[in-house]
Amino acid sequence: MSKTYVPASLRRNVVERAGSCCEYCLRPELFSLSVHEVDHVIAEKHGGTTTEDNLALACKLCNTFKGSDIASIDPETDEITALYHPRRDRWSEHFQLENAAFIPLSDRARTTIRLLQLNRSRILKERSLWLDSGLIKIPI
Amino acid sequence: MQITLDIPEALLTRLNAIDQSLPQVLELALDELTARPQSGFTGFAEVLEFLANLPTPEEILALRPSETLQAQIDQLSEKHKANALTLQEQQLWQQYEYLEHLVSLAKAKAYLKLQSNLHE
Repeated sequence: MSKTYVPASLRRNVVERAGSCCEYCLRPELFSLSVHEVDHVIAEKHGGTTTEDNLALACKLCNTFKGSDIASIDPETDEITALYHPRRDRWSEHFQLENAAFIPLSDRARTTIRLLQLNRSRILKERSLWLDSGLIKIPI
Repeated sequence: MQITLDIPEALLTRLNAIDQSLPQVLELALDELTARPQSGFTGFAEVLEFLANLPTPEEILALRPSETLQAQIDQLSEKHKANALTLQEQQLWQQYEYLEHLVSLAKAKAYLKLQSNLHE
């Protein structure tokens, strides 16, 4: 799979904008083994560009689970549904935090939570510690 | 070129069924074999050796995979994205997921410990 190189300055902007947190599971980069990666929200194979409006910071696990997908099946309606787009969608319109769990407020939130396993039991344990640390950046 | 092989009776029956395509089957099997990592997931050994040195919270926060381990994780990740993990690789990936979980807990706890030390 060929991928456009993300210049260091662009990567810096993406990291800074995200507060060094994964924009999907909210994991602070300080608390992961692998460094976070720059994700093409719309993958290049679907025409996504290497520009700030199509880039998001993602941890290794979220980036792997997402792959080049831009949509998946909504577990409630079985409909093909677009994934949450950190640049175009407002996080607070799609997700709500209850303790450490994400409560989906929309079909795309439900779909994204399922595909990226954002409420798996392991991550809930981790996320409550991230919240205690105050390093987590909750998007608005 | 011709080769002579001693094979079990049961395998012979299966080979008879594919007959002419044996060279392709061998080639595919070799590709599969060489695509597999030579050894298992090295992550746990690496992190355990690190922990055996009783690292400070600062050192725990600074822990990153070695180049070799990172290459292995990256390779598994790319294959996962392409839906191309073999069964064995799926197990290696699951080991990595678990390791990432444990390290994430350790790092967050190390950070919280440092913060509480600051406020004492």
